[in-house]
Amino acid sequence: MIKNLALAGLETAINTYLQLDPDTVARLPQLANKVIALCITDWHIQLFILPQKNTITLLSDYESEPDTKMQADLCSFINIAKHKGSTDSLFKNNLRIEGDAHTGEQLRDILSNMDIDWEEHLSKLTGDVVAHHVFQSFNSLANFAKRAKSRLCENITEYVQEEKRWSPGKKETDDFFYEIRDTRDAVERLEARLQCLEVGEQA
Amino acid sequence: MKDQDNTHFGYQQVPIEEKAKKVAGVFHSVASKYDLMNDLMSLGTHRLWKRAAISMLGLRRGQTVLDIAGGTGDLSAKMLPLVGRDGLVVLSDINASMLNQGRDRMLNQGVTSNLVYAQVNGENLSFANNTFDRIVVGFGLRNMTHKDKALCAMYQALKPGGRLLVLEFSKPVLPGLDKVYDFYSFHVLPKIGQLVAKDADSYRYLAESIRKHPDQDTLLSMMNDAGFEDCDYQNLSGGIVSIHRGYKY
Repeated sequence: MIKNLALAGLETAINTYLQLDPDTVARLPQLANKVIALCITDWHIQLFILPQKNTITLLSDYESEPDTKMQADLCSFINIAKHKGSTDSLFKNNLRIEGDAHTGEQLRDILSNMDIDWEEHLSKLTGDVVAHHVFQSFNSLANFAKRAKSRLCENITEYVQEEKRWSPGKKETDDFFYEIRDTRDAVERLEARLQCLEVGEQA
Repeated sequence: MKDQDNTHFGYQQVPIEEKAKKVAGVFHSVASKYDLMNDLMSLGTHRLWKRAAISMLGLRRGQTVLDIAGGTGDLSAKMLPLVGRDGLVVLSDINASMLNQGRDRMLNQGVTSNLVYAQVNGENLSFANNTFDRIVVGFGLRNMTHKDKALCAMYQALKPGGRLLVLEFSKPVLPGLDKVYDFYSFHVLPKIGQLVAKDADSYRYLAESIRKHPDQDTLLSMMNDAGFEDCDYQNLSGGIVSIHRGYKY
């Protein structure tokens, strides 16, 4: 029952979210009649996604073979979602796709291109003027938070590295790593030369 | 009148030929508020019961399913994506009002393909033998006069290898739950029925018919008697509802 409850909740949440973007809903029929299995390997969870005309159905069991099976650990799925399913993130995150890869690609493409016009949805409740002002204020606040976060990071870095010298700066670390790399290369060259000399001595 | 000519309609004894009419009366009366009442009475839990039933049904693409007493089409709507565009769901009900509600609801959702409607009596299924891959009865067997006859008809209509699933109210098995459940059924339920559907009697009948319905083990043996094999059941919500499953080989 708990599994059913969780799945029902997740299904409702996803469908509600999908309905907020009519363009995405319009692309769902491309996947109708397909079954996509998602396996979260580290949690041993398997979910089946059945897209329909304008909603999706989630199942915990499906007795037949799915069209596409996507396997990865939870962190990888989260990373892929965070990067909106970019091709790079698919390769970096050890996602394994079995079966019809085109279906998996279509699902990724549909979900990654979701773009909800929150201002439009709010305007239906409050009217255009209020919605526009609310979103302008919200955007200003978001930009301010972004700038403040970046400034805070810079200040902390400067305090730790420049003023207190608790840790080396980026340039120092880079130089240190270059030196390690050069030393390693030199050792490898020396090892190769010694091997050549050993071979010559034996001959 | 002889006792064997009577059957139960809730706690009342009525002539056998009267029961179907009385049950029909109940459902004609509540059809328009049926979905809303289901949500209110079960606080939405009926959706989870139906979801559990679908997952036990083991549907595959291309299969043909009969939804008996399908009413407003909750189960059919959930089964359609599973059978896909090559499959077929037959939404059936004995009651025209319920079936009309189901049809309107499906049309409003834009569901027009892979679904057909049939007004049939679950006790006399008008389908050829060995027609369906799966048959499901959701909260309908309780209202049938001759449950044994209905189970035999379902057995006939199933293909070999097919599966029957009966989702029905049953007997609570959790200690103490039966008292709370009785209080809720006989005191709260009719009041909700009166307030929302303006019909307390129909919801009193619902509570009574649940008490008269065979318990889990009795229904299991009835399914075995009808010819089903490997029958089992699963209790949900402490036995308030159970899902019985049987196979035809």
